[in-house]
Amino acid sequence: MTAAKRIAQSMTLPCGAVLPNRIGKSATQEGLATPLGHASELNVTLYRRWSEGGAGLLISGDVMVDYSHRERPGNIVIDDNGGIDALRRWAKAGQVAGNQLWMQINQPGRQTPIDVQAHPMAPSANMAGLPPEGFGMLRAMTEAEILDLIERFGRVAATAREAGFTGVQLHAAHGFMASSFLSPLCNTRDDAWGGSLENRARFMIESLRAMRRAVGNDFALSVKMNAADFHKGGFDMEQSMAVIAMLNAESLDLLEISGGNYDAPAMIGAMGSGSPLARKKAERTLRREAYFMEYARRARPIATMPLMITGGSARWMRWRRLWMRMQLTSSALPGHSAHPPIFRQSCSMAKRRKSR
Amino acid sequence: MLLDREAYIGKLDDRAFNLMESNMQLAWMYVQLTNLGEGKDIDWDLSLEESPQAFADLEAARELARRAARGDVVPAQ
Repeated sequence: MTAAKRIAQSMTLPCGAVLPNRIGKSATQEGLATPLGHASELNVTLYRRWSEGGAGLLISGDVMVDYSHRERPGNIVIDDNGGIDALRRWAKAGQVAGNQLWMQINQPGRQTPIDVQAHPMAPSANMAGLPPEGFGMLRAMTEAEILDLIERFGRVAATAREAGFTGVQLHAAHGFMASSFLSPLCNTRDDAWGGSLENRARFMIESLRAMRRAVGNDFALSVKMNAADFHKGGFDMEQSMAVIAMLNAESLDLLEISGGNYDAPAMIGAMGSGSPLARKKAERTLRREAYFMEYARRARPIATMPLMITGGSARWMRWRRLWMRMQLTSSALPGHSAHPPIFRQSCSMAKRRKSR
Repeated sequence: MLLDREAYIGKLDDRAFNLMESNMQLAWMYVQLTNLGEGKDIDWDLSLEESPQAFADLEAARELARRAARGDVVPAQ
């Protein structure tokens, strides 16, 4: 079977949801919310256009669970601030072509900018790996704050379902809260939430469980996790593989693979800005299509859930040709745009190995 | 999209150059997302170097709109 035919095939996820094809738009923060943190008409228009683009799955830009910790001004926030009708309009527009639309949910933690929060909550008050400007002195979370945040993830997931989204994704990549709990550089706690890999993974796993409890078993639940942080002594590929084995016990519908953080933005092709070889690495990386594919190949025999990779869809004409072939070979895509729905962080899906 | 590294040799070290390039790439993306949200097309003529100013202009216009909508603004806690 050709790649075009395979990508054009529908795919049934463990929860029963069906992706009409195997192209997904990964989360991209839009920064288009109203001052109250509600979805705006710009969000609505943008997602209608993306839906009409024909991807089987759209994942929203990260929605914040705490107004005091936003990734940037312009984030959509769900924190007892109203806006459910706007969320419904956004959810409806993002599914006009019959695709899945999942809400990505996040708390940026240590990467909350200083103009949003002077003293961001984080696993530990440890500034390692943060760019020198733009971030306030961190504050280590209390256990009560950790448990409150886990509950928030559950509440926001329930709101996503109520608003009409068809799934949710926990952002546990790119150095944000759940990702920083995983990192031994950022998380130096000595309680049940730090230390061993099992302890460092606890926050992510408990958050996923809270989200599953909130949405039920017939709703898509996903997590986005780093292949690695690309920092010496940080969360590396071996640890990542071990965490995937832990995630097999959770009821996940999709694991999305990305990498990096603000100081080593591998997700956009720049690997470890602190390294003298950074530029050569970045250029090599950008020459390679789908640069987390190697990791995905290693993860595939371990993971029991479907995998999705992001990053490295840089050769526009190549993707456009693939998209044209998909339209020629699939009856599931009548009338879709001649342009692939690919933006900076477009994704394709590795073949699902087995269902749970 | 990448900048021409050779044009910055001797002016910026690798770390500073990579951070600047990443910021320009993000600014370019945010401008284009706004274009799409406003029903326009992607502006392929916008260069990476021009993007930070274009993004700053966009954010300044938004800030004016926010002030115009006084009473809607929720300050960061």
